Amino acid sequence: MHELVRYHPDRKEQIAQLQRHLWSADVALNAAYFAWKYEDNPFFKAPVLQLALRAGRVVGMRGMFGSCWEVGSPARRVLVPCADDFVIEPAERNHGIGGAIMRAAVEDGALSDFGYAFSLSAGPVTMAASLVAGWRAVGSMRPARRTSASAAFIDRMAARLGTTPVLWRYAGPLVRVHHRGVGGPFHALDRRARPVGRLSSAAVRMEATPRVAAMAELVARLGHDGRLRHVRDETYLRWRYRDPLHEYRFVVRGADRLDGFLVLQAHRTEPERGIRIVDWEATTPEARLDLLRAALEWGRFPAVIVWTATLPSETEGPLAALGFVPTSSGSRLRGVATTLIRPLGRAAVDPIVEGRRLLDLASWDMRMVYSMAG
Amino acid sequence: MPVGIDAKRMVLRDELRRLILEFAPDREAALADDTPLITSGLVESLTLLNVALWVETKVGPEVEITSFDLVAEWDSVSDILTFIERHRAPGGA
Repeated sequence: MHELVRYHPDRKEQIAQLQRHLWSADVALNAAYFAWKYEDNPFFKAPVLQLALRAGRVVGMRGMFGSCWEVGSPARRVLVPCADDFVIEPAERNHGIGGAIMRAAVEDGALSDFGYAFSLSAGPVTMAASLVAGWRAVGSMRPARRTSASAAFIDRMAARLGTTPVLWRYAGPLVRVHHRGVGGPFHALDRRARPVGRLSSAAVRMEATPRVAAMAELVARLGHDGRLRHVRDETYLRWRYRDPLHEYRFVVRGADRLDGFLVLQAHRTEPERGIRIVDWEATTPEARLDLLRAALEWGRFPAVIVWTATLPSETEGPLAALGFVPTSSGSRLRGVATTLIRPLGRAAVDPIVEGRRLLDLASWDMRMVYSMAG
Repeated sequence: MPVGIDAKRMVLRDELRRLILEFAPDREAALADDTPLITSGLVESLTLLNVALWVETKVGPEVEITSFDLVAEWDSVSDILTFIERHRAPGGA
């Protein structure tokens, strides 16, 4: 039999081991990620986690990390627990642990002051498990992917290798090596990035560290239309881009005062997940496109992924022209990234905050960086 | 129920049972057509997704698992087969 317990620091090492099934194969990296996400979180003072134990060993986990949102005009700030990191050790699956830990996670006494929780980037497995545990879907983030011709060729080769005796074991490494490149996923970007006059009159450049004050100032200057969005102040941005599981690059436009930024992310140990555009802001549509064109031209990435669900409508055409296509073509279930809501306690099942219905995707201004996919 | 429809249902039933038992091979004896799948924890997370993907191959990509109550509609082999029959396009596989 399994038992469910709340987190205790004695379990940290075991969590890092368990998360080899989700975060990365590197236990030390997993431990660093845990510390960053749950111990150094700027919104929750202590980790809120439910663990499943069998014979004293951690075999399952569901976490809730803190987040701070703003909604309405004038904006009101609200703290919201975000469910994440759902993992069950493979040998323990289909024995009821998944459902039990999902229920326990939302009944945690530490959440008694909150009316609802979010799940911001549920993949298909977590989405299925969440729906049967009372979560409700806001909608897909509609990821779109741009795959280079060489990456598409490698993917086809890997698919063929994957069904060939003996050679199947080389399929995964082949894709991984291609995405990592010679010097890492950002090698080309780091080498080629330089001011690009011909893209526009304003210089676009790449930076390896976030200028959090300038980024927060731009976000504040651009204003807020009242939709639900994560607070992006200096404190949040400084914490957010220290995520040890990922590395980031910042393509910016402007000088001391920015008129645009585009943030790219790569997984440190699994570059085959592709480069992700996790945040993208600019003062004008032209500036926004300059940033994207520069990033793609310099980076020559095998694959780039962006969430399109709440992007400004004027980006749809250019994204398609640059080769981005929806990842869920042909299936509603594959390639989804779904935002979910779970009312907590006796809260309304269809929460409305500052006049915004949270189950309506039109109430959201979602960026990948708000979720841990970003 | 006409014989042709009954035979189709049996084929689907066998496919579905094989899929579920692939992830829970020790449960063969316990898996009857009316055995609770989701509420018992026999089918969860990854297996549930695979069942959903299988259903999608039978009824088409229009199946939207966020739009109905999974527990109410898919909690047994029999429930899932009925769901497929209700949603399958005429002439579908």
